[in-house]
Amino acid sequence: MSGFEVERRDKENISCLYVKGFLDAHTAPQFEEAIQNLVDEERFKIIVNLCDLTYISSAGLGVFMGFIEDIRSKGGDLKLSNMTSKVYKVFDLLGFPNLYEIYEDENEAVDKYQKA
Amino acid sequence: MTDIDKKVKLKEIDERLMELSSLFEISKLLSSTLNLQSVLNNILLTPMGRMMINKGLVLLDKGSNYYSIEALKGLPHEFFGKTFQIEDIPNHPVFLPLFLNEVENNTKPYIDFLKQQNLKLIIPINSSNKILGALVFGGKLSGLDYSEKEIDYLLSLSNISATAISNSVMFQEIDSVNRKLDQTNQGLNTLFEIGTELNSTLDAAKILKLLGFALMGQMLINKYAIYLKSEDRFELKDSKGLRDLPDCPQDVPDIYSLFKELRIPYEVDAETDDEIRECFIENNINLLVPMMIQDETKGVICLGDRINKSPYSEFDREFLNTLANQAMISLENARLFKETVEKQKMEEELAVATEIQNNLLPKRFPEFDNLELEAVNIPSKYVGGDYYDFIKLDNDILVTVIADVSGKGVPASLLMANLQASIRALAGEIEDSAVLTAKVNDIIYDNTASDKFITFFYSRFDKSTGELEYCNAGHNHPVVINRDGSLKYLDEGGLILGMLPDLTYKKGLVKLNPGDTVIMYTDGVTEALNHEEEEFEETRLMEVIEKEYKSPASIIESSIITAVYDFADGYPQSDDLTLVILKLLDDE
Repeated sequence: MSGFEVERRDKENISCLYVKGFLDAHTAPQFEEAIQNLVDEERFKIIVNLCDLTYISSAGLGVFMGFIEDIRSKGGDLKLSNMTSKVYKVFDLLGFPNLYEIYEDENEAVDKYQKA
Repeated sequence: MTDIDKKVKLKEIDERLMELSSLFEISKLLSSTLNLQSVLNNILLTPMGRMMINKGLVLLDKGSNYYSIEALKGLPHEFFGKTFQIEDIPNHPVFLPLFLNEVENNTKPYIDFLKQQNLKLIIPINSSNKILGALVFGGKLSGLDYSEKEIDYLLSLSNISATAISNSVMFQEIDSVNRKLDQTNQGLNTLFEIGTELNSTLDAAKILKLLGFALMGQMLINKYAIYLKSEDRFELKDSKGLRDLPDCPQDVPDIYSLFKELRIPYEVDAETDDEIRECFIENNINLLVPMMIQDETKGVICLGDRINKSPYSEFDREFLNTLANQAMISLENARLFKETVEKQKMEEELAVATEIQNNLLPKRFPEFDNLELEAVNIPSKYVGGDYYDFIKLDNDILVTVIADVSGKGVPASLLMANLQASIRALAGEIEDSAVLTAKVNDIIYDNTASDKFITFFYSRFDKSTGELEYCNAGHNHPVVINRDGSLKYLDEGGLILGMLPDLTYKKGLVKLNPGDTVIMYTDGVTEALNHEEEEFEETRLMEVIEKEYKSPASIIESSIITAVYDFADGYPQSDDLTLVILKLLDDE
C-alpha cells in the first residue's frame, strides 16, 4: 500500500490540512485523527488542501461525512481545495459538490472564511 | 411597381432575410453544442425575443406517451421536470383555443395545465420519423395572434432544432449511462478495497469503524447504527449521529422479528407498522440492511437520511447488501478468533492453576507409629479449590487440615497458597486450634476480596494423650467412627474464613482410641452428581463408612471413592473431590 501523510498548518483561526498520497480504508483512521485533533482543540475553520492527494476512496470520503455536521453546528466548516481532476471525479460521482464547498485554490477558501 | 409597392416588397425581403439569418445563426449554434439545456434555452429565447413572446416551454418525449418539461422561460421554475401523459401529441402547429374544440376530453391534466398557464401555441418537434416533443408558447406582448408567417418560422426553427435535440438527448443518455458506469465502478472499487482491508484485521472495533467510513462516504450519510446479534439478542454495537436508540430492539417484539427476518434492505416508509415506524422515523432512520452469513441475519445496519435526500438506487442496495455481508463475515471471523484465543488462555490458566495446586498438596505423608494416614484429591476438569495438609510438629503431634477455597483457576490457587503458608507458619506457634483459626481468618480476610472465602477444618492430634483438638470453620463436618460403630461429628468452630474480621472461634475436643477412624471430606464427595443430577449426599457416604469402618484406612478410602464413581456413572463433576482419613491402630 502506498503511504498517506497529513500535515497541518494553522493560519490565525483557520487550520489547513495538506493531505498527500492514498486516502483509503487503510489510511482513513489517520486522517480522522488529524481532524479529530482540530475538533478537540475547537479549531472548526478547516481547509483540506488535496493538491498532493493521488487517490481517495469512499472510506476517505466517509471521514468528511463523519465530521461535517458537528463542525458546522459549531460555526465552522470543512472546505476543500486544490483537488486534481481524478480526485474531483470521485467527489463528484458520489454527490459531494452539493454538500461541500470546493475551491480551485486554497486562498479562495481562506478569503471565504475571512469574509464570512 | 410603385415606389410604395417597392418599399413594401423590400421590407418583406428584409424581414425574410432577418428570419433566415436568425434561423441560420441558431442552427449554427445548435450544431456547435451537445448540451441539451443550452440547446433548449436557445430554442425558446430566440423566438421569444424576436416575436416578443412572454413565456414558453419545451416538452420532450420520455417514452410510453409521457412528456416532461425540460426547459421553460417566463414560468415558475418549480414546473421544471413536470411530467404529463399525452396520448395525442399534435404533429402540426396548433393554436390552443382552437385545439380545445378538437380534443374530445378537455379535462386532461396537460390541457388544464396549459390553459392555467395561459399558453397559446403548440409547435411539434418532428424528427424524421417520430415526434420528439413540442415547443409551447404563450401569447405575444402585442396581444396580436400569431400570423401564418410566424408559425411557419417557428415550425422551421423547430425542424432545424429537432436533430440537435435528438443528438443532445442521445448524448445526455450516453453521458448518464457513463456516469452510472463510473458510479458502479467506483462502488465496486470501494467493495474491493474495503474487502481487502476487512480481511486483514481481526479487531471487531476496527471492522466496525471501517464499515462506518464506507457507509458514510459511499452513501453520503452521517447517521447510522449497527446492531449485532449475540445468541438471541440484537445489541447496539456502534452508532453515529443518532441518539436515544434502543440498546436491545428485542424489547419491541415487532422490531425483533423484523430484524430477525430481514433478508434484503428494507425501507421504512408510510406502510411500515406503526410501532416500528415510530422507533425508526424518530431517529431519522429510513433504511435497514441485513448483515447475513449463509441464511442467517446476524446483524442489521440502520441508515439515516441521505444528506442529498436522493433515494437509494438499486445499485446502492446491492452495494449495501454486499458490504454488510462482507463486514459480517469479518466480524464473525474476529469473534471466532477471539473465542479461540480466550479458550486457549483459559486452558493455559487452568494448567497453571493445576500445577500450583498440585505443588501445595503434601507429596509425602508424615509417619507415626500405629497411625494410618490416607488422603486423596481428585481435581475436576475446571479445577476447584480443595486443599489438605498433614504437618508433623514433633513425634506425637499431627496437624491435619482440610479446606475448600471458593472460586477456581489461578485466583483460587493463589488464595490456597496463602492459606497453606499461614497454617505452616502458625501451626508451630499457636497451640490452641480456635486461636489459630481466628488468626488465619484475619489473614485471609485482609488478603482477599469479600466474595472469596474458605471452608476450613483444622485439627491437632496428640498421640501421647489420644486427644484430637479441632476447630471447624464452616466445613462439612468430619466423622469419627469408634471401633464399636458409634459416630461423632466434629462441628464445633465458627464462621467460614474470610467473611468477617476479628471473629472468635470455639474449639472441640474428642478422645481417640485404638480402632477409631476420623474421616474428613469436601463437598465434592457429598455433592457429586449422577445423570439425574441427584447428589451423592451424606446418607450414602455414611452407608459406606458404616459398612467399611473396620477395614484399613486405604480400603475405606477406596470404598468411598468407588461408591461415588459408581453413583456418578461417568457424569462430569464440577467440583474437586477430597478425602482425608486418620485411623488409630491397636497398639501391638
